[in-house]
Amino acid sequence: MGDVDSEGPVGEPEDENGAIGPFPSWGWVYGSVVVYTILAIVLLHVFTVTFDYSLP
Amino acid sequence: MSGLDWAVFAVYFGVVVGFALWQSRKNVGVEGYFLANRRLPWGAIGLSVMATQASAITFIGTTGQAFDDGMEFIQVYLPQPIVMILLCVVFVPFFYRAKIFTAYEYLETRFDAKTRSLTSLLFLVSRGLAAGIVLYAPAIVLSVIMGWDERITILIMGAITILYTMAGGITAVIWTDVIQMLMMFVGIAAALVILFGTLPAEVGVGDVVYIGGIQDMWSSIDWSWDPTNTYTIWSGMIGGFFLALAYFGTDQSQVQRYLTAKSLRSSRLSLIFNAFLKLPMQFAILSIGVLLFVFYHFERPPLLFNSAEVTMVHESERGEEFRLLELEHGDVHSLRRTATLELLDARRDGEDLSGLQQRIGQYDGQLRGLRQDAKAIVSDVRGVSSNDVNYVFPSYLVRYVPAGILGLMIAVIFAAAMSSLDSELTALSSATVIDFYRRYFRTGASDAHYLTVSRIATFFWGLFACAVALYAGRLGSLLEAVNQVGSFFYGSLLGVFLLAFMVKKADGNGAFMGLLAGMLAVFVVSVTTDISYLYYNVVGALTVLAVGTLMSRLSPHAP
Repeated sequence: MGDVDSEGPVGEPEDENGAIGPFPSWGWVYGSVVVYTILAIVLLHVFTVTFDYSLP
Repeated sequence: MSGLDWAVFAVYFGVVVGFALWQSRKNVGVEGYFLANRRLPWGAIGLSVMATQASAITFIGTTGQAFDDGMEFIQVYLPQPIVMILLCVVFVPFFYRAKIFTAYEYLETRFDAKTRSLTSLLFLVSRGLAAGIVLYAPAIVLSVIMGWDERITILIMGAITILYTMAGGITAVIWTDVIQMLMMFVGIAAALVILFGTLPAEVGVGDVVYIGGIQDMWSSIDWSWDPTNTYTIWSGMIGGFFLALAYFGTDQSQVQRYLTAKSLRSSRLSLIFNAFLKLPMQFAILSIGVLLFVFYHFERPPLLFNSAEVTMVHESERGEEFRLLELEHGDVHSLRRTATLELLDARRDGEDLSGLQQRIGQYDGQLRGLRQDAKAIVSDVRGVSSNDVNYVFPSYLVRYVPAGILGLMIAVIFAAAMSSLDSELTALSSATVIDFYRRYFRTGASDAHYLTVSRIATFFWGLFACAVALYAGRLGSLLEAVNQVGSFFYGSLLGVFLLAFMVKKADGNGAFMGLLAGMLAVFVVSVTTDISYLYYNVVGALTVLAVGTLMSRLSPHAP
């Protein structure tokens, strides 16, 4: 995260292609977010079941 | 508060104002004031998006809700990562490439002036009032817990936020949001550490998880299908999805944030940042509430945490009845404390736990029942429902947190309120100036003129928010009505934007009629059914899409 002063000029060309950090493309980023959401739901379900110590 | 707490507090205000003014020194013209000349980095924008959503009530109300009901609130946040993808793929490219100042400005280029004006007006009315509530809610809590005059609290928060927002515009707002959001992270982490530290020495992490689990407080996912229940996975994933899409995709207080990015890529990255960070943050905030629930197994909590409500009831004709509840609450709590300690000992020794668990379950049920009875008395005496959940966490802070840390935590509550208010002020100001003043009253004036008017608009909305906050206590049920009205049109507003993006043949008349039909449909559903308010957004959005498409096809101008 840089400072305002260090940023490029206004309206610099969009860089839509190429790698996004560790991801090869935006498709991989979006795919990772979907997997992350599914994992979050699964983990929360496991969390719910595992830490339910209430009497039946 | 001690001198150390006040010192921490003063440092917070000094750093926020100083940093805001320093960061805003290169703002130029109206585009600088409202969009930071479209050159901010994605990390700052991402934190600002998060800070804008997280108000003080998120911080103190959510913890209280988890104290009462456990982790189930997390389900409302589950669709947000998917919403961020849809924003990145559909919404952001349209907004970013249109080079607009406000989300509603886009609707004139796509439809017509009346659709833009109506949507912007709906935003101004709802957000203007909401800005007042953002100030009022923490002020009233701090007035009860800290004994501060709520008017002074409102005026201090309001004046400082107006000052740096007027001076520095969106650049100051986003950079102060960065500091304020980082403070909230520190505050959440500190609260978790302190809570563990204030538990009895013999109670470990495993014991905490176990005690919470006895009452099913860690339950985060409810798979049952019940549209009247807000906290199920389906209400969260369907209703919460539309609500989040409406908020992040059509509310100027959020859209304005990602329009300040230096590129489309940066706009998207700021949202993806939120996709990954929001859920863990919400999980941590809710965990504070469950830890408070466990903590109060060992320390005696008050029957109700809002001491102002308790005093009011004590002085009423139902005071004696309330005192009896307090006595019974104390007795049952002592029994539960003893049983909990016995349970932990038995668990370490590998003994059978079912008998003790059953006893603790019974005591828990009695304590919940007593709390519900107490809230019912408060509702009867006050004439409005008790909002005790908002007082659980601040009450703990004042009673158990050491000097210095208390100042930090109160500063975090201020930071949460101010980081939401400043975003709303810039959004309200931009919609006022760009969608109305420049559009209808003074077209073609100089940039310097619009900049001056923008600062005046910021000042006006700041004063308006303070006035609403100062009189909010007297508005009573009117505030609840305002919140309900907000949920009536949020989904419909989303429907108009979806119509713009997805239905090529949709026209202005179709969009306008669709918007009115959407709000009417939500109103009818709200008075004829008892489905969760989350589904209002689904009803509104789908009605606008259907009616808007149909009316556009029937339009005489349709090909």
